[in-house]
Amino acid sequence: MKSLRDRITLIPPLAWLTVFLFLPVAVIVLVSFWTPTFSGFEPTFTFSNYRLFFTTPTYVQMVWVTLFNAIVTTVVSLLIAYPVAYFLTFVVTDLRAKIALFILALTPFWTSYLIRIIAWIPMLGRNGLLNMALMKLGIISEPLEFLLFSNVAVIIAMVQLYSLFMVAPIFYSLSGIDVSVVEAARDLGASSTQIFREIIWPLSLPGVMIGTVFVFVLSMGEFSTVRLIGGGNASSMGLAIQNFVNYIQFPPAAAVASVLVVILMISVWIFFKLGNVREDL
Amino acid sequence: MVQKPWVRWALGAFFVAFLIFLYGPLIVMFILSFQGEQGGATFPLQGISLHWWKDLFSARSAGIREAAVRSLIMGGITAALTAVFSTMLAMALRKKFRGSGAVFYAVVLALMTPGILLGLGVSLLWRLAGWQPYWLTTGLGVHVTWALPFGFLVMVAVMNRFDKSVEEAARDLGASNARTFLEVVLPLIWTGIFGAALFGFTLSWNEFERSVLVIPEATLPLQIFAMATVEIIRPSIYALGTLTTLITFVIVAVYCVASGLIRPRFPWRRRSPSADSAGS
Repeated sequence: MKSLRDRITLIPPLAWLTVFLFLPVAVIVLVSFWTPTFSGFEPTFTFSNYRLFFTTPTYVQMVWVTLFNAIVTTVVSLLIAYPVAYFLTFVVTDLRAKIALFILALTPFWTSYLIRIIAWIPMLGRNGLLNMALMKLGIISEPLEFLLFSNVAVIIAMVQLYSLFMVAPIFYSLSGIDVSVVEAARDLGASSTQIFREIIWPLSLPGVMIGTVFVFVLSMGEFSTVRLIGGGNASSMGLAIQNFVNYIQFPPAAAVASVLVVILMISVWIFFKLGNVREDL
Repeated sequence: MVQKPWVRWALGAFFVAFLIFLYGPLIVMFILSFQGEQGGATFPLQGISLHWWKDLFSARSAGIREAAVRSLIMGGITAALTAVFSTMLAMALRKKFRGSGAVFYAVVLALMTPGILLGLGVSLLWRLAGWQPYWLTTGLGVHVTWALPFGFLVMVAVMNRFDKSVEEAARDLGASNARTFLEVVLPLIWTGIFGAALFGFTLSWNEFERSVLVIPEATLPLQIFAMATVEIIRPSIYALGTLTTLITFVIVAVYCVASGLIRPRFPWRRRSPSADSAGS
């Protein structure tokens, strides 16, 4: 009985998540099999929403674009986040400085997400700062058009929005490494490359794994970046959901959302599978 | 750990470049918010003025202020609920039991669910039930769901460092459950609880993707989105962006100092030696 009383505090938060997370996701899957009507949907079973999705080339193309953007964002975030986390862990030794610098890198995450997207417009635009700087330096003579309202802009902005989700877990993993292990390896004559490959990288893998999953999942569901700076041709699964809802097309929206859920589940499963295989070696 | 000097410098330079990447656009936005009255949303500056800042406080922007008040209220409630729920979850999960792993992943799932998907799900659920979405029901619902995993992870980290024997000692000395919690546990974990509340407030204050389908009234981010998509972008949106960013910075700074995460060195105050340890 005592243990039951200890767990009674679980009920309110889990009840909240049931109403505002589990049931909604279940309802999405349910409605994706219902028939669209002019005012919403009616509970008649149909596959037509999925048939529409998989037989329309635009939608299939959209899935590939979303996947491509998410994968590039994840890889670039990893390439940026790893040196940053490494610097914070092993180069900055003073604890106060370490915490202060980490908070400095973390703070933008607490600022408005939309504002951080919008702030790229004066940077990347035709008359933006980047084009001005490149022209002043004589690197280009005409402003680059592809920087804003393009996939490039979406990827740049998503890397900036989400790279902190990569920095934090890698920083956490690296901080857990016992420095004396590294010193011992060095005393035994290991080179820096060897130390990194044999000790630091394998021990940081859990952080890399978690960061990869976070960044990938967050960029797969993205729609406001695409809407704000992706330009007219840009698309994403998130944006498609939003567009369907705007036209009161709930079942097709639910079908896109269900496909997204399945893709996310498969990807997360693959990531963890890969992570475990690497750990066994 | 010893690295070659050039490695240290290269990594340091890389970190600075990363900070420029993070803060650069925000600084440009800050500068452009002082654009002259005739100027547009990009460089060059056509003079310098407070025109766009005044615009924020003019009659034309009454909608923005109304939305800001709504966001402030919602942020406050989300902060409180996130703090309470995270503490409840972390307290119950201190001991492993059957299903504790499942609870952990269930909460983290809230972090991994795309915002637009959560919004769609809640709006469909409400439609099925025949209810109207409202900012303090559906809106608050998705905001707390979004902030909960962050608060929860903070509390789990705090609880991991928490020495359970202190609590047992209090019980052995005859303290009731309530008294043990209030007088022994709470003082040890309050920085974590405030951390969870901080996440609750900032995440709610800035939340857009989950809100767009379930909040019919305007919150500040919804207002910003409308400004950026419906109208031509004007520098007043930069002024608003700068203002909300500064508000966040102040809140984070206050939290860091109040929780002792960062102890500013005031030259006029002598520090005790023990104050040097960075507690959190």
